[in-house]
Amino acid sequence: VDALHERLESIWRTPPGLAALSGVNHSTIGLRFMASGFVFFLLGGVLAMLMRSQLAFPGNRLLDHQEYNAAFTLHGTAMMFFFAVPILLGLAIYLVPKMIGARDLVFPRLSAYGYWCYLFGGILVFSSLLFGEPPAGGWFMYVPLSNLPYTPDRGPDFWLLGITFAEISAVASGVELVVSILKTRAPGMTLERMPLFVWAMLVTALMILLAFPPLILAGILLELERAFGLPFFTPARGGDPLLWQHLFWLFGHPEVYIIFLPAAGIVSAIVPTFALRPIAGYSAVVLALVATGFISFGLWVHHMYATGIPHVSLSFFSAASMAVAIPTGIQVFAWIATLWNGRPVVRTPLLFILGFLFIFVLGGLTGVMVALVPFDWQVHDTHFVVAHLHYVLFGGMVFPLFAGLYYWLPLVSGRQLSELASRLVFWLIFVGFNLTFLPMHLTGLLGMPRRVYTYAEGLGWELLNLVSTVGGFLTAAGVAAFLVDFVLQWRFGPAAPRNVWRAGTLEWSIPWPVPSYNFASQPHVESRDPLWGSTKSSAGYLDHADVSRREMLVTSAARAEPEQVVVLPGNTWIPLVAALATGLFFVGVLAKLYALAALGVALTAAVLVVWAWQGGPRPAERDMEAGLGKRLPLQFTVARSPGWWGTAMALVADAALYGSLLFAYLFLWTVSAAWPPTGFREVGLALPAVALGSLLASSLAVYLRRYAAAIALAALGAALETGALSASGLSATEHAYGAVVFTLWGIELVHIALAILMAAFVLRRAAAGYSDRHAAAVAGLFWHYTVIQWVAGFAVVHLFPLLGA
Amino acid sequence: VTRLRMQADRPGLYRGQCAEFCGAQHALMAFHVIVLEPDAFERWLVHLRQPAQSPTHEAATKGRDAFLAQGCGNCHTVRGVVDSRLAAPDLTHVASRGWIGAGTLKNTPEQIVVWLAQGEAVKPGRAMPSFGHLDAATLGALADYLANLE
Repeated sequence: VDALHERLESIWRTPPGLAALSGVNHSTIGLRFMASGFVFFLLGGVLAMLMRSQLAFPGNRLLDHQEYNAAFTLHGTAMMFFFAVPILLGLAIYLVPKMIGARDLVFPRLSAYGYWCYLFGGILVFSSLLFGEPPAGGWFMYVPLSNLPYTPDRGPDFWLLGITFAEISAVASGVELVVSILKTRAPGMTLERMPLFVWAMLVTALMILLAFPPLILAGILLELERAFGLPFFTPARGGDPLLWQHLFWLFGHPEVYIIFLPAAGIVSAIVPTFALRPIAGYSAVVLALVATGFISFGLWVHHMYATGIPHVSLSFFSAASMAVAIPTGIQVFAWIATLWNGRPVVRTPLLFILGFLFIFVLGGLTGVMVALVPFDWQVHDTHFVVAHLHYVLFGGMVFPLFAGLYYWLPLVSGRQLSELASRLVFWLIFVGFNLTFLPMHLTGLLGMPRRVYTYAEGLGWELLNLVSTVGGFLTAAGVAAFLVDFVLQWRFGPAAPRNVWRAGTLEWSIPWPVPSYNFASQPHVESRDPLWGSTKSSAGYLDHADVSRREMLVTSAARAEPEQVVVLPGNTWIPLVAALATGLFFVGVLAKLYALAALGVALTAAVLVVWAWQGGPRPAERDMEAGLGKRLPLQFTVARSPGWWGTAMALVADAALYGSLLFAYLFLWTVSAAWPPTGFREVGLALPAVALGSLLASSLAVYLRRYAAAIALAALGAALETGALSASGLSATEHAYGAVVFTLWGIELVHIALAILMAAFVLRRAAAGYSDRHAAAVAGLFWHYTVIQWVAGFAVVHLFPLLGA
Repeated sequence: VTRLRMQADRPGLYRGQCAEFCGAQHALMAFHVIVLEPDAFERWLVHLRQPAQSPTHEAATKGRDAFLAQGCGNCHTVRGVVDSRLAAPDLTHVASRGWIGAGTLKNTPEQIVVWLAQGEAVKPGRAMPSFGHLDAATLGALADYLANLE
């Protein structure tokens, strides 16, 4: 066993020293995400303390209005984009493979690339401080304020580009987690045996794929308007500021649940352990998670009650906003029932969970209150909403996160938790939090608006604000104490036995120090809490002694039956280089050095080709002995490889992006007087129809594996449509109509270019003597999607205007 | 969306404040609504339709001259003196208001001087330049004039 361990460790480990930056192992990447996320948490916290200090007294002059506006903008941005989502994704990246009996995530280089994009994006946003141009339009960046006439400095550009850069990582993690969870669970771990944390992450990851694209699109559109004058949001030229709000909250509300569901997963992992019994109502909790995921996409307008939307629509969104309390309530009752039935042992992690339940339920109650339109109109944009959102987000996410950090620390550190200090941490944060935000409900009801850098005396807000400030500093002291306690516990605690909490899930079967490959022998799972069942023989999969590469099982999505063996790439500098090249693009756009941006795109494409070229099958090898008498094919030889699944998931996000743009088109149509605007010449139908036909034919050619013909047909189609649009005299800058039409086609052009690149890759690869079926399957999938996307685009661009005529 | 309707059931003074974050001075964007009985409201409307009253004393007359000499009338309307300037608030009946600077300062001659001389310090980012270079007498005369515009 030791010899096998040495051998596996030498294959899987992240190298020491500077070369660690080339590491792709999920444990390494997960911890990096979490450490970086915590740094942003501290940054956001410092900004919060600055704001609380400023508001301690009326007319305080610690910060001026610019500094204060930048502070709340960066506070929200850091907490939502650079702390909450990344740290939870980091936790999932670290834990999910260990919980499902896998050795790594299925796209290790993608996680590494995502991490670097996240880190660089965060640095880009915060570097605006060094240039003295921080974004100051709020984390929601509403237009018209953040549009060029009203904010001519580069603050919004730093924000838009940095966030879009960082969101690559969220989408990458979404793809990564969905495919890993569906396709790499240990044999026998059917969907109904999956730990609830993994269920929560599956739903979250799917939500990310649908929710982040609207934000990315909104960012692209606003940057196009700010940099090139495409008037998506300018009413005088057919745009509409409300389009921004729709796109932003189409992302922004699911985002709240993208943050809450993983936290709920943490709670569902911890509660059974300390109640000493399985979770009550497992199926109900799973259904609640899925239902929350669905409903969360029907709530976004409740952020826009005060924008003058018709009452009928408001009633719908009000009802949906109240309905989402139901699945959340189901989970709360499941946790209470589990504790009720068991014999809870109140250790620090459970203490934080109890704090969560108390605070989160209060936040849920005020949530139902603000879901009511008339009540919301009273408290809209007051400190009442600030109090509500911190009760649900700090209560609903930070408390479970801290519970989870204490809970899983022994797994990573190999040391037991000492309770005394960590209980002090809990009480500091719990008391501090409530002291800050409980009075704030009242401040808001007394009429104090949000986002004000100062306020006048005599309005009855003085004492409440002072109390909130004192509470804020108490919370900050609690967080500082947490940091010290956590590091000390990590370094100096007494040694812990394996599975120190006697939990039931697979990650606790892993010895300490955590092997980089997690499981020397991939287990066969026979129950929901495998460690609580009878201890079976340790025989498993892929534990042959002559292993020489990163091998892992791929199983079927629902039943988890062994299907393939995937050979994962080892450590490589490619993700870091790719992220740097991507960064060149964003910096180029920010600095308006478009040649530099183009160079960034070219370099990124080149690096991605090298990326795809890495690895590859040994010519003669088609299948291998996987252990327990199974002979399984390698991923290169099957069409439905993990790569195909990953492409399919990425295309879900892609379709959400394009769908959001189609939504933008239809939304602007509904608010416009004439569409297309009068005086806009029609684009003739003949050329575009031929172009579409040419693209459809290219799809057929790809199906028949005539890649050269397909490339020629696609290029012809692209040229014809581009020619038709430019010959029509349609302008992208005169009116929002032209702006949307050109953007619809521009995104399609990018897809066609990528599809051609992929087909050329397949040709080149075959010429080089590789026989990988999966590459052709991936290229084909992307190609067909590209063509179908333009079928939708064509219908909107060329047929829709005919309806009105 | 740009029109705000309010229903008041009782006469009195009501304070409102900008809710949606609107930029630099979002914090200092308040307003006061005075609710009157119908006949008092009619009287107020009639008064409001009148052009500005002429200065009633010497200092106010000097202030009006300063108002014109300093170019205040390039942006501000005072009906009967300078008309149809839309870039800045109409000052025809400015003395009838309780507050200036969008609910920021009490409308007293002393505060008007502060607003004229150091307004950019009170509300950084406002469109009107500060007139701190004027001597105290001119500022005082301007304040007298504005306080005279009942």
